Amino acid sequence: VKIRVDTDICSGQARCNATAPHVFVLNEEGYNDTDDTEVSEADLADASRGALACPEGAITIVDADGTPLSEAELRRLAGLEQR
Amino acid sequence: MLRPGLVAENLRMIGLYPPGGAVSGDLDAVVDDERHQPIVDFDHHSHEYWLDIEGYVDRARRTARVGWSNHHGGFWVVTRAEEAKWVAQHPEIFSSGRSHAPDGHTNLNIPPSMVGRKELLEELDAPEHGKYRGPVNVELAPRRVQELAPEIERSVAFLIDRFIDRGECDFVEDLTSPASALVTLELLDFPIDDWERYAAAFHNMIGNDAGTPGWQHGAELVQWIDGQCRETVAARVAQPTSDLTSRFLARDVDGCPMAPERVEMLLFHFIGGGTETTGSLTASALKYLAEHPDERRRLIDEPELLESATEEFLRCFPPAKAHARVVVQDTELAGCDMRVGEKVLLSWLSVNRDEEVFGDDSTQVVLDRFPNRHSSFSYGPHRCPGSHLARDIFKETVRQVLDRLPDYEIVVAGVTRFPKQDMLGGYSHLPAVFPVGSKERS
Repeated sequence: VKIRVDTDICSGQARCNATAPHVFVLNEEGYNDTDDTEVSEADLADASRGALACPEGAITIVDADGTPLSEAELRRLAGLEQR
Repeated sequence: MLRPGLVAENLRMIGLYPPGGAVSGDLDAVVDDERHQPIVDFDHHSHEYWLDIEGYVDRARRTARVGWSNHHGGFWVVTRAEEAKWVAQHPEIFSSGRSHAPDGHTNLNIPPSMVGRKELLEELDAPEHGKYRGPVNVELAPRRVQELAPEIERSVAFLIDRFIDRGECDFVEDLTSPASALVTLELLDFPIDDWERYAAAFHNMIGNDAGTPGWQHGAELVQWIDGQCRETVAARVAQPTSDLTSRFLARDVDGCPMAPERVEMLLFHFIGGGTETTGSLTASALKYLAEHPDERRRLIDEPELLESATEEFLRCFPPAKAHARVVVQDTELAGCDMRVGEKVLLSWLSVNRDEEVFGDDSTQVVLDRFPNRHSSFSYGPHRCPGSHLARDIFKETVRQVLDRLPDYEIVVAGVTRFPKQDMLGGYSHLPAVFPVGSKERS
């Protein structure tokens, strides 16, 4: 499972980092610097929360086949109720 | 030394002017053709809007995702998050620049307003925008803002110390507005002694009707601030130090050091952009918590709730209610056929209340809401560069108020709002009373 960041869309809102600082690292200008980073099983819930927090929709979590996880799947992994 | 017209120029550029001033062009160019549909009766300068801004944008959103307003020469208004995000993320189609506006006018408000020669950072499009945005980002990134925590804590404590033994204060004038001014001066490495002038300048201009003595006082102070920025830049050109001004002057732009007038622009933008906006958010939250004692109690008992509550206060009380763009490529949005030169208003307040994103309780305050993908700092490349600093000043101010004067009550009869809410909303006065406290802090 990997993090994909659309760096053209990332605007430095940094909600990913505020939500899951150990998963989402920022560069010197405050943009998400974790494109193409592996996510461990232990970090999957936090990574999902961080991806959901992004106002720009710049973050996707992709499975081993490169398929993006749906918002419903991210919510389930993050332990949130469906709405 | 006064430079006539400069104050209005600078304030218009950051969307703060004219406060309460007359706006021309209302319904003078009614369009009713097949292309300009659906029609939405939307006027962000109207008294109806000012009276009930939430209800006004809710009605507009339920009328159309994107619609045509015939006010102020005609413009498109965007009410839903999906389309507003698309617009903000596509500056090559929806520009923040000055094209298709009369000479010297900005497109950030509707109608475009006269601003004269200077362009602020938020009026620049790519690639020019990125050249200045990078250096600004470095100075305001979360890591840098975290280093300011001691200054933020000290600034808020200093202000509360000044009124804690009085049993009364005006939250806006004594706390929320000056807190941002003090921290901004620390960030800029400007002399702190003049903090009261910085705090009073924008607050007086925005909080009073144009032309009144209070407004005039603010206008003179804003001119003084502009002079301080110019003098600081001139001094650092002659003799660089390690301060923020010198760091900007040393930055490479197109193979040359950043031009002094661009550095002046950035310094002015730092001061003007952060001062009254953050204060507006804090005042709105303190008022809400006074009106909802159970929520206040919960925030005191569960301090960690402040993280999500901050996002929710941002969502419900966005200081910037709207921003505008100009179409620079023909395009289609939500079925609307938009043409080059047409203006587009993004109603951030409406976006933040969009049921499609925030659910059936989108008009309710839910302090532990998550996720909370609000638009209060805007989407896209013009995302408020001061957003991280604003959050930290807000959180520290609320934290210390709840710690040191937890039983404050708002004096409702003395509450006044800004005379206009077309772009920046907030309070001119928010008087409070509380049991006299001690300057000793826990």
